Amino acid sequence: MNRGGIRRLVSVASPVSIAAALFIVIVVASAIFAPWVAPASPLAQHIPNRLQSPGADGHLLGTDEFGRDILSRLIYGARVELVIALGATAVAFVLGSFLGLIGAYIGSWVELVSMRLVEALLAFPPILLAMLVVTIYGSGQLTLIVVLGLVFAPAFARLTFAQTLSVKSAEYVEAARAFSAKTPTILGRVILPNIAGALIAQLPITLANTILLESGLSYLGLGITPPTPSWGGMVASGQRFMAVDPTLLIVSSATIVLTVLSFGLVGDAVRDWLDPRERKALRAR
Amino acid sequence: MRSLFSRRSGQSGGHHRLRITAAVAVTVGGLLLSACSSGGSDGDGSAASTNQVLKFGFSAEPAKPTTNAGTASTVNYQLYGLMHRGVMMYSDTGKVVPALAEKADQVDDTTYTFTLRSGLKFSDGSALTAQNVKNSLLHYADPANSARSYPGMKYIKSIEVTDDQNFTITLSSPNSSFLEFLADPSAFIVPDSELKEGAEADIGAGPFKLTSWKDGVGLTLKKSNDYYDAKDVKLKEIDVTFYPDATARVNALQSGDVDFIDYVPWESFDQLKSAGLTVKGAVSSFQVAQFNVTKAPFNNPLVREAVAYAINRDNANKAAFFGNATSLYGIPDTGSTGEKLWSHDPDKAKELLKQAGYTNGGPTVHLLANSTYTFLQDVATSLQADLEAVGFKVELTSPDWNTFTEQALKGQYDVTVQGEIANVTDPSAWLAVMVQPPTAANKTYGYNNDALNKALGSALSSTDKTAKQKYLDEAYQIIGTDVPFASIDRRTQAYAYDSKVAGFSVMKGFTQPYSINNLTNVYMADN
Amino acid sequence: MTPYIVRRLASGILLVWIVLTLIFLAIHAIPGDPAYQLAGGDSGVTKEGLEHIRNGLGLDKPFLVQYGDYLGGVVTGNLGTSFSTGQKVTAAIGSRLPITLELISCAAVLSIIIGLPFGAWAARRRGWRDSVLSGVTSIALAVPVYVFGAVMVLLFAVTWHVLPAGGLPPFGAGPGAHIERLIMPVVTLSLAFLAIIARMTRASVGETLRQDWVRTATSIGYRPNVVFRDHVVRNSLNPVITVIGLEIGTFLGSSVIIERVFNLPGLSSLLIDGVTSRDYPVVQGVVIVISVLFVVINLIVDIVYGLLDPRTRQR
Repeated sequence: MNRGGIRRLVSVASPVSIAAALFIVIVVASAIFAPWVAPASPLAQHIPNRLQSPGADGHLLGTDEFGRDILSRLIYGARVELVIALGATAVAFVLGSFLGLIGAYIGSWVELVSMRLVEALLAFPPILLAMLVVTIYGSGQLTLIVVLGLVFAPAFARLTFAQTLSVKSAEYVEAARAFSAKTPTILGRVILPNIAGALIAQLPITLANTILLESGLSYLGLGITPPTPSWGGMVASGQRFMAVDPTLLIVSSATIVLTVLSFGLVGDAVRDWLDPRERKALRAR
Repeated sequence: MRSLFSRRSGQSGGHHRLRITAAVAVTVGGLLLSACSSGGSDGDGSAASTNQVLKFGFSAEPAKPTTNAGTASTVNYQLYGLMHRGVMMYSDTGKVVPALAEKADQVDDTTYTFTLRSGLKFSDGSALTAQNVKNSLLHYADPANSARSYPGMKYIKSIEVTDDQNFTITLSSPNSSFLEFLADPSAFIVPDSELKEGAEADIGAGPFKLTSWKDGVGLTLKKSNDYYDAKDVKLKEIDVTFYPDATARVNALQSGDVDFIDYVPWESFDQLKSAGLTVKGAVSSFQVAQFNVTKAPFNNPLVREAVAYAINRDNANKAAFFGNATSLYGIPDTGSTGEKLWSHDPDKAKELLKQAGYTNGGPTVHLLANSTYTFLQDVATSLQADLEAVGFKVELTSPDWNTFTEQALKGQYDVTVQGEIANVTDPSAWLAVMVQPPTAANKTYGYNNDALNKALGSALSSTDKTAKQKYLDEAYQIIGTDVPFASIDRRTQAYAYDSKVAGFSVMKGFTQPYSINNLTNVYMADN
Repeated sequence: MTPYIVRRLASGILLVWIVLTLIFLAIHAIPGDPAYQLAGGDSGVTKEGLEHIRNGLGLDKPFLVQYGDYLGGVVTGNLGTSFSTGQKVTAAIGSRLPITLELISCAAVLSIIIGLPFGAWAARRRGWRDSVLSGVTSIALAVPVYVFGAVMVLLFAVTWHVLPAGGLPPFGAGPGAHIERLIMPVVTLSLAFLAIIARMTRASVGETLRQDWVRTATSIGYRPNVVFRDHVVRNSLNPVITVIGLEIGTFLGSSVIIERVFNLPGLSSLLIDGVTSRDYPVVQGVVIVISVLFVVINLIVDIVYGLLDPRTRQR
């Protein structure tokens, strides 16, 4: 990234998107440094002290139904959440863009097969797909990464497909072909870099969506196995007794909303930054 | 006698509900009190309304009533209790009393004679005779039909019909609980046409008749004028709506969509009471830790005993049931000799582990929980902390109910948490089912103890009270040290209703699920 | 256009077959024997009973035979019989599909009615309007639907008693009660969809506005409002419509949770119950219906697309 790019990024970024980026940095940092940042163990139960309100007894955000420190669970939960979100997004990105690239570039039966697969994935309601896979393989982090990756792969596939079609007959691709470059080389070295912008803009949105879907699965009892903390699991159990004590629900949903919101805002900023027309508009300003 | 003992964990045989919401504190004493004061009405003295329609929120959609194989949950038992009747039934105080029968006599160990009430009719107006009783019961006794009441009916050797009202049942072996089996709501009597495979059992001899059923939505029951006791039934109609989600069910009651709900989630007891609604329940099913005794570490009784002393039951109560449960340190409903076998004593647990050879920290174990029943998962989570506190290393998995059942059935665990309820009251009968082969998902895997089997067998066949108690005490002692299961707590199952509902009472203990029979006493008050 | 539709239908059938095969493989791979609970669960399973039931359900046959039988049934319109209720799957779906369709179409209409103008409004003048759209839609997309639904019920039904908590009586029994109960689920469901449509519209209209013909039209004297309303918006609709078609799967997914929160007996809850109880025919049936819906809706989307933009009809 050259300095002009950075300057442009800063000029695109509104104070809000800078705040969003900062929030993401905080979440990521606390996930990485959880053992040093968290005030208590996320698993240590102290049931006589259950459902304390924020601030009580040294628990900044209160305690949950097992008397565990909510703040510590959120911090360790960030680890779980980010591993799932990043892993699933990576799976979706790799699988989706691969299907889209070969489908669009090679065409004929490859297109037929890859695009039917993508449509089959789209025709499956995401929750059902997740339910089936989780019920078969159990609800581990790895299972969730794979299943959420599958759910969000079609978006990347269709995006890549459309973009590849549009650059397929561009001069520089023709040129590469004329120099008899191999297909993988053309796909990986020539086409992919040229369509990367749109795909990158899709990344933060996918990260946000994986977090939301993980929370939906927890609501249906298919999320991360307790007592391991996950944000979705915390919202789900907070929702159960929200009429008794809404602290857990409010705190954990707020964390999800802020994180998803931040990813979304950063995604918007990145997209505007990468959009050449937008760039022109900015330069003209 | 596989199944005096069934798991009706939660409200069901298990499969319907995707998740059940847990748990808040109410003093159990108060609930017990109200449970004990059962029989008759609440006596609030309010006048009966002219609109005798009860809007009832069921905790799940029952399976279609059938005399053949079919999943059955507590909501099914509720429905059976309302639309069907058997030869015997549980009265409003939980006693076994004649229902369709007017008189039931035990002639000897294996022979019973019955006289039916005169002029009995099914809800379609056709006559109910001793021949119908014979056909229905023999149908249930045939293993190929997989009927719900098979575990009790299989003791029937023959039924001899004397005339339309009189018949004699001969058992293949003595069974002190046979009349209780006849009172089980699933041993209902139907017209012959409903005994065919695939036929729905929608005509019965109960106080209400099924008039409509909308899949996934609800059903309507209307008072049956052909019921033998119809003059005492006050409700004209029960409009049932299905609310599989516990929160939705509580919301429906609070917003006035329904008047009455079953299976109140524990976290909502206080909330409902402070909103001016009545919550009435009784301690019923109990939770236990069960083991796989075919491999280390739980093939060692000392390690099992360590678990029994490690469990902090009060914590489990608070976390899973919001305090609406009672801690259980032994075998429920067995008096002082059986109810106090263990205590919460982490030091003793550590000592036992040392004795078992684990001097350097406890063994690593796989704790199997399930994600479908939140309260069982919460008990397991609490258990995990208790075990780790005495040195175990615990790995917890939590698949959905069906997978959990399959894994439990195959012994793919070291320790797991189950909810249990007995269908009969005699501990020598139901304990035998719980600790003897054959394998079932809700039993300790691979457990078989000759000394215990012998003690329970002798207790079951003893007619003398003192002798029976002596054998039972012996059995309790073996259970105390050999620990085929470690009891955790007994949960309160409750109903909740608004001020329009009067006259409802709850049965206590293992008969609590039959409390819905008492809707025959309920009326809508004018207020 | 006819050969095009035929081609699309053929590829649609292929798609349904792929989905059907995937679901058949997946559901049979799930642990948990459907016959076990039917045979009485832990309380009364007998060997004879279990065998009898497995026979009756056809579960004793080899896997490929089961698959063949099932495909044969589907082709003749027979989706089998539910394991747990004994009801025809087609009947079960028939009684629940209308509710889900009603829920989804109401939510789609609401989302379009609000989302389109909102997006166009924001696109017309960038700046603060854009920030408003971005903020509102981001939050709408970030709140888990069940939290939003649960809070709505707590406020409107339990605390203020202005709306019923859930359920859906038939329209015929009283349109008032019916509509009253649709309000909360539809609003909850449309939230995320509305946000997506608004964002898509903003992007698409923004793009159209930058095209030369718009400037030309305005400069030769057409009134900007007329150009915007009659031409810009109309020319920006295609991507929006595509998104509506593609998101239908996600939409059905959210409706699973909505139906649970508001106790609506729709298709999605039938599906979830089916998976939970290992009711293979029900799960397979619902998935077939959903994928057929997906194909049909996307076909309609394409046709609408063609009507709006004759150029795409050429392919």
